Amino acid sequence: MMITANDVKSKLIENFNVFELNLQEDESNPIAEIRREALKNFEAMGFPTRRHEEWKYTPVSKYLKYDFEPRTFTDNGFAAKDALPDAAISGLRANVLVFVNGKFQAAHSDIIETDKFEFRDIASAINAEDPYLFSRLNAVIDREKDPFIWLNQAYMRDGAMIRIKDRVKLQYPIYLVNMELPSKGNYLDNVRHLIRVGDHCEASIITNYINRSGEDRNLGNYFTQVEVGDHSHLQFYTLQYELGNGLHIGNYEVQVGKESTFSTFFFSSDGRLVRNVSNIILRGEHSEGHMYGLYSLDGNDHCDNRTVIDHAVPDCFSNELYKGILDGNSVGVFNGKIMVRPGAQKTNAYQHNPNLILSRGATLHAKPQLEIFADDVKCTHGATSGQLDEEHLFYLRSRGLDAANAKALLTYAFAYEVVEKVKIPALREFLEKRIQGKLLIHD
Amino acid sequence: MALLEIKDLYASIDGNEILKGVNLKVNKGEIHAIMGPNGSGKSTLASVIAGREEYEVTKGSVLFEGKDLLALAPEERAREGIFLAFQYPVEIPGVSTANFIKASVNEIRKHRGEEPLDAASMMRLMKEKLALVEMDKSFLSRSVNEGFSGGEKKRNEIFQMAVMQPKLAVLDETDSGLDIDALKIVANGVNKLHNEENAFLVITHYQRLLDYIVPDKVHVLLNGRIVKSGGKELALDLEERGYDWIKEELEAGAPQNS
Ligand SMILES: Nc1ncnc2c1ncn2[C@@H]1O[C@H](COP(=O)(O)OP(=O)(O)O)[C@@H](O)[C@H]1O
Ligand SMILES: [Mg+2]
Repeated sequence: MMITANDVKSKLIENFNVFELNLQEDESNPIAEIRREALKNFEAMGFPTRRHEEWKYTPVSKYLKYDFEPRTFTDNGFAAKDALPDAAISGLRANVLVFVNGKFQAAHSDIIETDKFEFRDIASAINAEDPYLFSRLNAVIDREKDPFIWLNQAYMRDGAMIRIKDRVKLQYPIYLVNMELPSKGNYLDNVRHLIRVGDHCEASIITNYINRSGEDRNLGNYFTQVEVGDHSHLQFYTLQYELGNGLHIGNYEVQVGKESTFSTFFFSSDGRLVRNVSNIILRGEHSEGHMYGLYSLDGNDHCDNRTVIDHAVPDCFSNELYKGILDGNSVGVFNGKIMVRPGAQKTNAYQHNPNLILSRGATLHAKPQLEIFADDVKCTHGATSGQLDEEHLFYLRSRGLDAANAKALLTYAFAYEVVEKVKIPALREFLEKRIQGKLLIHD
Repeated sequence: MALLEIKDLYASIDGNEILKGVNLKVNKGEIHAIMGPNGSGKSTLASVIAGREEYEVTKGSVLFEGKDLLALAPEERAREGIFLAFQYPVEIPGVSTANFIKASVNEIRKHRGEEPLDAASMMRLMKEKLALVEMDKSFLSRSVNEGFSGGEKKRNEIFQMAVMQPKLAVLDETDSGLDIDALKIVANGVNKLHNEENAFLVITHYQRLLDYIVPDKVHVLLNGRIVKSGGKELALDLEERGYDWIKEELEAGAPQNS
């Protein structure tokens, strides 16, 4: 019998007790209440249908065709160490934190700069009834919009809680590896990451999502909350190159304090279903949000990027550049909203979404949205889509490059505008190789 | 055997017939100039030789070293030794000149059964040829033609030609828009490369270039046909008298080869 999204929902709610039992959390632990309330919210909302404006082009219920069970075990006969090389970025020295099937792996992790930031895995923070954790869990801003956030909150198993102290400049990035390993069955991993960057800090964080099963019977549901203090700079990189046919939902909620800069990068190139939702709130004056994305899709990849940049106060700046390369029968969705709150004068907000369509079978849905409630603002946006330029192709071919190579070179050139913005050299080289490899450029 | 032999070539674009029976024979070691008023089909001829796919050859043949050139893809022609210096070289943002030329040189070498050049030899080759066209090596790290001045674009074409060492180079109005110094650089590049084994087809509007590149033959292309051929003195005649006298001669049924 065909399983529907509704069946998946019912089963999740029905089996919540079993999940709780498996986790063996204390009955008096405040987390029980937080989980139950989240479950209630999830139950009330249910999974989105196409009728939900936010999900119009991402028919998620189509992919919810297995009775996903929240995973509560880690060891499934597939050793994490065999999969770890997939996460290797050559030449990258970093504070490495590894999560496998949603569970922290101390043995595979390695914090170099122990004195500069605090790390605690969320599972132990829950058991220790950490008040900071609970305050963050109760401070979800996007309460209305996304049932996956509530699903995450009800079923979260673990994650990283990172606090960077004031006046700290991290020398090395924090590298969060999120790995889902193959196992028999249909699994849902709910992972929560909480990041707090203090005042006068500089840091970069890389999150890499790897689904070793590469099957659409694995769903990773991630929720990351980031708080950036005042006078700080945070670069936040997301890599989605190893998802196979896996399903991935990522929600990001970011608050940026005054005179701070937050830069985010999404590199997506895989996945039967990938949805990245970034809600970025500039809540301190003179802060900046920079949003870069590069989705290069083929086959049956479906990648939905949504960003909301919320100018809550005056004098802030935001710039967004998301580029898409669509091949095969892939589907790309881009929805970028610029919100300028009443009183947020002197806002400068720019958004650009160029797309390169390489095949007839590929589909793009691009929707910029402006909601502007102040009058002294500068906002521009534009989405374009087109093919490779025939004149360019002919020029390269007339110099001896075959058509495939000429296309690859031009496609790479298109992508490079985003890649060159990456400030970590090892990561930039890794991305250059990944993109060239995918395009089959040979030396 | 001629290096290039064009026989009764007809070509059209978007249903418009542009070339209407071109005949031309170029031997190794020769420099031919093709002159003619705007719109007479000079760039079309160059494009058909280079293999631009928008042009449809409806009749005739083009042999290159005795082989059917029209059967080859543009990149195969390049590897066989055909080079087109474009009238309007395109700007390609994001593609570095060095990477592109490296790829190009190695494709041609592969075709000839040669090993790819190692990084040092590649650099040496590029530097040597840059010097020939008096370009700074900072050009190499820039995107192909991006933000180049008109003269720089043309010199970049000659630079690429020098690196690729073609058997037949077609220069489509490489001289137009150049000041006299740049013109001399281009001409010098051509003269340095010219030898007994290669040939040049120089398309130009002005006799000026031919003061520096001395052609063995000059052809007049008019309305899609070569209507007159002669020695280098024909270019001087055209400079002085324009094209009208040729049109009149044609109408009067005068012989076409002087
Ligand atoms: N795409 C096209 N469709 C129709 N006519 C064209 C097209 N491209 C060029 N032509 C025509 O072909 C003729 C020859 O053009 P071209 O070969 O560029 O001449 P030249 O290089 O001698 O100035 C011109 O009359 C021009 O208008
Ligand atoms: Mg022309």
